[in-house]
Amino acid sequence: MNDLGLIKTDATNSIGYFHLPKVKCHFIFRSINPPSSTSFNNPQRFSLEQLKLNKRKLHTFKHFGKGWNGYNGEPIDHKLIDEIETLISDLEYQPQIFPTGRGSVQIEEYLDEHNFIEIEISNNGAFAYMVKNGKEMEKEISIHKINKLISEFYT
Amino acid sequence: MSSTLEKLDTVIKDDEFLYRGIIESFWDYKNNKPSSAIYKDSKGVSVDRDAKRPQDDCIAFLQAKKNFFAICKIKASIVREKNAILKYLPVEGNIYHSEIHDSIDRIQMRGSKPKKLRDSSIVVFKE
Repeated sequence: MNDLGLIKTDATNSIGYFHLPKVKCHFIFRSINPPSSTSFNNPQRFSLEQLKLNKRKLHTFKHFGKGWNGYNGEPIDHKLIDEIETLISDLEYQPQIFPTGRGSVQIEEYLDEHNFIEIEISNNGAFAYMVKNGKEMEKEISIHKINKLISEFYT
Repeated sequence: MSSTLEKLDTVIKDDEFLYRGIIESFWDYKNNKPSSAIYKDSKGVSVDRDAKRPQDDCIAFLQAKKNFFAICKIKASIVREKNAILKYLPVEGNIYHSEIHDSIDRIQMRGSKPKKLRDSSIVVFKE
């Protein structure tokens, strides 16, 4: 009788595993080449790589002094940057991040001309501009509703 | 101010191009274009009017100011078509300096306007 069985599997793309009837103990290993990002049913969904990239980019914003954009760019409040870092860590869908010259941060995602979203976040709140299936919408939103709005955009 | 300043027409003509420098943080690599965030400034969006200069001169003038990652241009007529306001506001060291405002009453653009301006902009230089 065998005492040990080793089964290699890819956790996010598994075809399942099986128990050999005469094996007492099984160890399951993840593939040595896991996917570079965690994706589930929707390829647009949570991307660890994009989150890491966004966090790195956000931290560069902390070094922006006055005139950082070659014009009259205002520094971005470090507290706002920290808040946005927390916000994006909780997002189900990971957008792109850009600074603005007025001390705010814009998160955006562009799928095509009829489907895109831009949300500008500042110390005064957030303003969203979204086009979904060609239908345009602009409104002020509270920061804690951003995740919901982005999820709605993708559904 | 230099005497050249006095030679520029205070009205920006519809067929003039306006140039704006872009640093790398604004570049959307996924879609290979700048973000609309380039048109979001608190004190008006600074641009350089061409004032009949060749494009290469406009680019060189901007690059002498800062080593921009990219430079885009937009036609004055398009800015007006999108209901934004153009103001010729020369400053010391830059007789071409102009600004794009949201409207007569409001300086900052938000919502659809920056995105529409970005979509109508042409990238004329990129590292």
